[in-house]
Amino acid sequence: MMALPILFAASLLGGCIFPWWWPAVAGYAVGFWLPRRGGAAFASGFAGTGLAWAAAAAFLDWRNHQILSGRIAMLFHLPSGLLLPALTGVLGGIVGGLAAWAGFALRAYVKPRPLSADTAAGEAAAGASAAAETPIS
Amino acid sequence: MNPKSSPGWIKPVVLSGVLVLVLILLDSRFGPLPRIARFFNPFSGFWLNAESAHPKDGKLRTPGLHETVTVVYDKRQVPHIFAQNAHDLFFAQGYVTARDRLWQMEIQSLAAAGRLAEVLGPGLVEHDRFQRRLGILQAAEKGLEAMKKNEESWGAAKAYADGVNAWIQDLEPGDYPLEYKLLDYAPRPWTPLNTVLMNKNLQWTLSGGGDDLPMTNTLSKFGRDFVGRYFPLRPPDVTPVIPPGTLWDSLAPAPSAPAADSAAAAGGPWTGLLQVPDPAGAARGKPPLAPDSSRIDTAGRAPKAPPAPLPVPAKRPDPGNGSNNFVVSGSRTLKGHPILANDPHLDLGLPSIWYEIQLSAPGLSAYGVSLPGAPAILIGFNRKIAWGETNGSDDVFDWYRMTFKDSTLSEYLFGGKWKPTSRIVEAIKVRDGETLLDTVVYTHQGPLVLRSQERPWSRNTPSLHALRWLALDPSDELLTFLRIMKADGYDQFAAALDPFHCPSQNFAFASVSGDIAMFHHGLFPRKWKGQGRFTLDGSEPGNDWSGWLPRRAEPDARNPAQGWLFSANQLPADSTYPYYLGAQFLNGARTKRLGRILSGIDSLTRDGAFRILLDDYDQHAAEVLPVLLERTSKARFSKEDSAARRSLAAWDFRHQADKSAPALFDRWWSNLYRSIWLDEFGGDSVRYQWPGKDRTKRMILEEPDAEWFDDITTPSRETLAFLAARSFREARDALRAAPDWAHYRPVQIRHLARIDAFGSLDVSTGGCADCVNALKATHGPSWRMVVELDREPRGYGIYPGGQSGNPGSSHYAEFIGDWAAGRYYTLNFLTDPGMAGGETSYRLQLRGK
Repeated sequence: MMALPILFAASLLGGCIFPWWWPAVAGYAVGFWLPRRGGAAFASGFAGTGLAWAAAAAFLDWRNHQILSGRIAMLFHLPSGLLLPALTGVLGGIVGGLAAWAGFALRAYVKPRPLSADTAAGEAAAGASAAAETPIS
Repeated sequence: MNPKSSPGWIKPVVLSGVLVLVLILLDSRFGPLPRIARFFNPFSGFWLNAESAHPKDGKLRTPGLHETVTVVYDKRQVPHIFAQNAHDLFFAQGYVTARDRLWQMEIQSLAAAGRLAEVLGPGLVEHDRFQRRLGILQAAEKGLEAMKKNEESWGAAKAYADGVNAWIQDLEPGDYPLEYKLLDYAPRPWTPLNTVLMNKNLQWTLSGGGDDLPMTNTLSKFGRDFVGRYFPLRPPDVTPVIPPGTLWDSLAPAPSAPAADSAAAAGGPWTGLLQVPDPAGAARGKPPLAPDSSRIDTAGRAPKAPPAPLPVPAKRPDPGNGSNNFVVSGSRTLKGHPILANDPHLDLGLPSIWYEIQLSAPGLSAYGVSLPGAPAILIGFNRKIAWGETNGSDDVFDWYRMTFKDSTLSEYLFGGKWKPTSRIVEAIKVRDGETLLDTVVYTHQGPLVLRSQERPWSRNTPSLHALRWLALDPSDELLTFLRIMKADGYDQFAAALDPFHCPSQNFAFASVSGDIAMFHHGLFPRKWKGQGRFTLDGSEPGNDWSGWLPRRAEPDARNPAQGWLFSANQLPADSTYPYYLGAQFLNGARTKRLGRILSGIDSLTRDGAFRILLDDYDQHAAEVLPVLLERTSKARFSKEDSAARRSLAAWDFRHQADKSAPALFDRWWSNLYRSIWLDEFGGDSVRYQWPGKDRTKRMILEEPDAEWFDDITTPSRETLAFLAARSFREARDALRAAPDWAHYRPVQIRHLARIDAFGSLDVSTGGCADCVNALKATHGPSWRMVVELDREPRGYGIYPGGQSGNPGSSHYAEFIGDWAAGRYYTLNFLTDPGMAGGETSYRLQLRGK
């Protein structure tokens, strides 16, 4: 499954340049191109963007010695600042996951792909010629 | 849904729709919450304010600088700026201050201007309207014009603004200070007007308010004898700022009161206050419009009943605003050089009101604390002198009862004639709303803060009163501090004070050449005795301020024989001083204690000066508690209450954090004080000025049979002994758990926007309202500084906060623990940027090109 790492990288790199909703665009595109099932699309989108957001937050939190996350946790009445990178990840995950799922659904409607091949080569082939494939849902 | 019956496009459309909906929701504001995805995403949201704990050296391009500026940050994040010229110095001060305190600077200047609704929404409209009605924005614009006339201050304010803007220009939304993200707005360009507004803020804090209205209510209800007796202009046992016996220049006599108000001058009867000259034209048209309290019947007789009490603004600066400073000459210090100390008492907040900084350029090198938003240093030292201020507490804030011809408010009575008012339309912009227009009516005295029966201040602000306030006149206080920083001795320092008008201060001064001095300085209206102590009749020309005291009429002292000088906001001069400056001078107990400590000193050390500012001895308790214990010696108490009473008898009158006696005493005293006066003054529905703590204490000590101890709401006759015993039992009931002082009075250093998570709300430390260490729950020593004037001055200081305004920085609240523990930091006064050595944290080079 390439969707997860691609979206992870896209969320991290693009996040530094584009507005916060960039993972919705990236997730939609990745969902359109890569996964074979709706569930898989959502899961890889959620994990890809979610992990990217959580990792970025965790890095900044570590570099800051948890000073800010402690205060933000108090602000939102959360028990600990350590929850915040995870919560940030969930938020990003919802955006990435939903986008990948919606992208996949569009793909399934306009250009359905077969369920068979589960290799990179198969995916590439499927991406190249999708005309004869059947819808999965 | 049955997949077979639905067309294939449904799913992508629904899912895409859900996605868009979720994105919109995540990007929307709900109530006070920030836009959640913008706030939480780690690429532009709050996470970017999680500052690295290890900043690195940097070279920054800052267009506008003439030459390269080096900024050395020490380990406490104090910037030491080294510039090649004055322009670059203040440019860099603006730049580094904005880097640490941008949000604070902007929100405080917007608050002063009455522009908060513009960024925070409709909830702030009434705040803004009040500020506009006070005339602060207009005054700031006049102040700006005054500043433009002085190239020195105008140049500094412009360079400072350019520096702030150079910082702002480079900010992406992800770089904004946290509060902008939370409150969801963007920083605006900074202008010199903002700097003037910061000064207006300080003027409001230190010279706004006053107690004219509650005093007038008290006078109306109790009469002149009561006021004369219980509100003495000159408390008997308070040492003035300028030592008694100081000779005054022979000057023009003080003005005398007009006939109508002469009674008020002496604390006169309330009827004397109410005489409105019969307006020539009033009988022909509609009756004139005047405050209820000054209406007379048509025959000109005084009203039979006392006038309706005046509402008092709820929004008044803390009347306990005060400070200490002292200077001790070399003849009384161990090492033979002068020592200066200062601790301004202000609202304690995060980010702190102070920003520590060193400013160095050719011809100028000074260290101390600055006001974020303004160039220069307000309290500090250079290589020759040290200086520090306390509030002068003179009365430059007076209310005039106006009589208008009719409800259009277009003409008012003055000197027997109708005079036209002027009007200024204030536009109050509202975020997500329509701009509101508010017309402010001005008489020659000043703005009419509240018209007849207007909300929302109808209960709290007097209607149809014009405000005469010195801060609404143009002045340029910045110039004083720019010159003080460069002063090399007494003469230059004294001359530098000239442009400083408001708020009047006690400027303490010491120099390496051995001089000590104290200046009670500001611009003082020439007043007749008592003028403006109560509300004034605005139609009587004799009630106007009539010119100003010349500088040489001000009380000051240089190198007195006693070898020391101090101020604690007490009255400035003894009874031989010929001019009336006001009646709101503070706190006999703190003054008495500080005076006693200093008079006993013959070899002060640096550490001794540290301890004086931390002194937690309660002079008030020391005087009143033995009497209260004596008065309750025959009362019947439970065994536990008796034991608690004995524990108070063993108390040393020190307000230490871990002692419970101070908590019990404090509660006992406040219960007793309230039970003495509440029956006479009633509840909170009308605000009267109650006799002060000092005067009440004196009554307990010297007039134990005063009628005021009787509770007039009961048929029986209560005595001091009865009230003392009852209030003691009540105090014990309230404090069953016997909390220690720090738990009873936790110190709260609150965030400026009252965001609890960004405050330090449970600081445990000693001190009390009447102690030299005048630490109340949210108010107290905002900067403690001690300077030894050796060949090179050595400074020590600390404030309860941190250099960074970012709650995500390790420097945000860094000093609070040490401050609470009574520690001081060595202030690293660097003579060149390479000198800091091991104290250096990192350096910035700012280059113009």
